[in-house]
Amino acid sequence: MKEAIKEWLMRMPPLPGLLACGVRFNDQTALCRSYSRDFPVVALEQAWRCVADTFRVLRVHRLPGSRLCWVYARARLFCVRREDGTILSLFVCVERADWDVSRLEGLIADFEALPTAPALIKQDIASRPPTA
Amino acid sequence: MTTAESHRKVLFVDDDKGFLETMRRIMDTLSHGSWEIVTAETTAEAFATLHEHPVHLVVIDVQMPVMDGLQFLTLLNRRHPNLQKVILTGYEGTEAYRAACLSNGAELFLEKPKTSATHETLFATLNELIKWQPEEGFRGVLRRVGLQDVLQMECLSRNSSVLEVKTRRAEGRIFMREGQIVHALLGDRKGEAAFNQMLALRGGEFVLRPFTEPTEHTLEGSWEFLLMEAARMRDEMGEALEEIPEATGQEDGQPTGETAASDWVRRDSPDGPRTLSGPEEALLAVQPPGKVSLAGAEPADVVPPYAVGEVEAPPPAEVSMPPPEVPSRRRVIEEVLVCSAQGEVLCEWQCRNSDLWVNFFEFLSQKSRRLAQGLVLGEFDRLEVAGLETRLVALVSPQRGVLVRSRLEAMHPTSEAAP
Repeated sequence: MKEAIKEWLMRMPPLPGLLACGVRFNDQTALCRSYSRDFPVVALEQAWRCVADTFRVLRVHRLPGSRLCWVYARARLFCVRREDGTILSLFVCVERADWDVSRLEGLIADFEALPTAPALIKQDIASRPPTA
Repeated sequence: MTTAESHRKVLFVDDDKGFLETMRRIMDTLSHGSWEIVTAETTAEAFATLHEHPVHLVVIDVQMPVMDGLQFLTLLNRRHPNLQKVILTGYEGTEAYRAACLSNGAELFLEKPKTSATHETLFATLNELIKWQPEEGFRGVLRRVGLQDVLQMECLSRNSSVLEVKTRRAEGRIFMREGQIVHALLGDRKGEAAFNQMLALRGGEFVLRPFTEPTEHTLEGSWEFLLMEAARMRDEMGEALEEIPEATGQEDGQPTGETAASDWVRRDSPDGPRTLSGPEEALLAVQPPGKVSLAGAEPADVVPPYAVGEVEAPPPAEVSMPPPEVPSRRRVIEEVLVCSAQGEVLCEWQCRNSDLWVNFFEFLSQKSRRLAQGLVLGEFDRLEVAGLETRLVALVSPQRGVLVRSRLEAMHPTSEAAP
């Protein structure tokens, strides 16, 4: 599963406005791709951890959202969490004239369609807090 | 880098003396003496240490007697919101427990090291963390401190002080000497009766004053027992115990834009006592994104669930990555919360647990800055969360926190009224 995601990330066509992207797996390992000097890999790994923490905390707040968007003045961070706990994160500059949200949606759909690890899904469901 | 910058003080809190000694030795070696390791075997000792010596980082064991790691972390986060905190555990911990720790200010949740390699990993992780000192931001935790929390913190720190409590009908005092509660006075009541009555109050003002010797000592025994007994009395007696001194804003015709169960104001706050703004004013001051106009909102108890579709549909450009919406559905706002940076609830509408969300603002404030560390992102504006049917927008600024939660609802002629 990891290999498939890694391969997909490496051959992912660059999106207009994409500054950096990466994947964080349930086992806390991560992949990073940066297209800008302003987005160094070390800082990206840190960012992916913050994203994973936020998904985790939101579930405790009974808001198991599968998508996040962090809006900053200069860029947005789009994050998608799959059922197996794998998270795709993309830093994007949406101010560009060629920014196209449908291409982002396409990327996300591709990511969600990639093979999952059944064992991880089972573990993920078991660890969910009880619902109200 | 100067010596002062490179010198870091780290506090390890663990009831295992052997583990503390090991940590002191190993961390000192790995840091080449640049870390000053301070240890505490109990939470009381930890609070006393922090009271005397500021530290850069606290590493907390989850399982400790009297007060477990999460309880300690929660209190610590209220008193020292900008202090970096790490949870260290000998077991994996449930997902909910980990999240609760993260939500209450823990930066990391790590497993206890068992080999030399894992000691080095732990040091590297903590060393990386210690380089980053959180800035001040949303500080909701400072104001959401109730009487019980203040008493716990004072007693754990072994402080001597007088806690003055004031409601519209009565004034009271609780005397603490070196961490022991020795006397309580409320109107013409004293001792346990006064203490229990004050702990049952649902709101008012309080201020901590320097200790003065009371005319008599009416309370003895451990503070933990007194607090537990007060909690038991509060549960058993309920409203009867609160009856005498409790006063509400409604008596004076003041607006009550919120219905928090516990509503305490620190009188020594630089902002002065809390003032409530009307829902309209608060919402107009900070407009939620998506151009959802709530200016016409009525008082919370009569407002029907607000359907965005009936007012003005949010422009697509403002709502990022929306889940596919079916035309036969409309988005209904389910919950709105506006609070000041100090955690005062300025306006809430159908909020099931405002404390939880204020806590989330604090978490988000820290995480958004941590996330941006080393990246050129500019100022943080908001977080948008989308589930299958639920959407949440949380704005956090140094001045305010705003949260709007909405849900997709099927548009049937018979389902106009919300559940």
